[in-house]
Amino acid sequence: MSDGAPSSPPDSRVSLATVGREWTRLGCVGFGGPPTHIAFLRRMCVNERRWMEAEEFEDAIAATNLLPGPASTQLAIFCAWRLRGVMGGIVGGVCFILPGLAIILAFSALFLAHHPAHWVLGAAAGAGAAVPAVALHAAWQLVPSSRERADGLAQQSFAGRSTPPWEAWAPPRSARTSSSFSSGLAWLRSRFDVVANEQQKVREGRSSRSPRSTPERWAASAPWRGLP
Amino acid sequence: MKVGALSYGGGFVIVPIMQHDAVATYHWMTAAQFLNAVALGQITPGPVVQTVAVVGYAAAGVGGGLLAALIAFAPSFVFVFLGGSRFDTIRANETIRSFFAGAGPAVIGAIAGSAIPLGLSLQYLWQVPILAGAGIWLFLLRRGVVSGLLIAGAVGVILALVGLQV
Repeated sequence: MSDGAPSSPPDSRVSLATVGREWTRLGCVGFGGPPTHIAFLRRMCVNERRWMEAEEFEDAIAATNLLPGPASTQLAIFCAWRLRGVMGGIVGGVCFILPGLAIILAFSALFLAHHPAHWVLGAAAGAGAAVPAVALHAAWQLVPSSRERADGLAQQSFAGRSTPPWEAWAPPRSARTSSSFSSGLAWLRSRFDVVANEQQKVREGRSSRSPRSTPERWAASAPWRGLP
Repeated sequence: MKVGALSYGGGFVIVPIMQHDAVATYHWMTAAQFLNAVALGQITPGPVVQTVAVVGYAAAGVGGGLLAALIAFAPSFVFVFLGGSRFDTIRANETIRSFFAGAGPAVIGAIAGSAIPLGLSLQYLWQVPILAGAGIWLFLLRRGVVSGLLIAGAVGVILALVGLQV
């Protein structure tokens, strides 16, 4: 957007006052972080008011997740910008941020006072005690999306190849998807058989030159060789 | 500015970024106060990045809080205004996606790693059972973060009124 305007004309039916009112409401009731904000924005912009197409909204979610910075805030700014250009983006973004900012500054004055009340100290120490668990939980929640993103890129990167390099030693898909003991055992046996076959070839090459070493004798009598 | 322009992977990624600067480098707040700042950022409505306002308040009062929020959110406006019409291109750009796919695991590690210094910031023994309860609440019972923090805070109030050291 080099000219500072959305690619398609903003919806002139939506006034800046409407943007300000709706984004302030979102900023006031948006407890619960980004998932809540995204759900509210989708309901308002796509389902109820039909200001945006669902596909465009999904594109915006994906793009803001790729940008550095707070993704749901960027999504809120984008939706407002999409409606009323730069002024809409500024009004929507500020109205989304301000309610929470006012509340958090009020709490800051309460909690960071020089001599806070005893119960305030208790509330702070109690809520603070839970924060390390919240940090681990936040990291844990990112694992699926990160893995999905990496898997998607890997599939795209190796789309032209029959097998990605790591698949050569990875368990077959049947062993990965099945929890049955027999699948795992079969895979293990196949891997050990590969090693044993290689050692057999080495032995055959060496048999005329030298007697078997102890490891080779162990390999020849390995228990997996007798498995059905 | 670091928080607004460099954070990637959700609001919580700002914690390891801010913790070192606010507590160790500039001594704007104690480690326990930083825990409170993170909790406040989670339980208030709106963006989680608002946590920067608490750090700003600790550094320079209301003006510091407002300035910190302004600077932290400014890059988001710039990114949207400059790149909004190219979001479909950004989404399809394999180089950008590859970069952030690689950054993803590092973000997870940074956030999970921040749990260690945050845990070491606990001052009282009675906070340990609350931490364990929060872990059960979030991971085993799969309940919400906001409700977990509010319950933990309420338990803290009760224990403080009962007479435990705070």
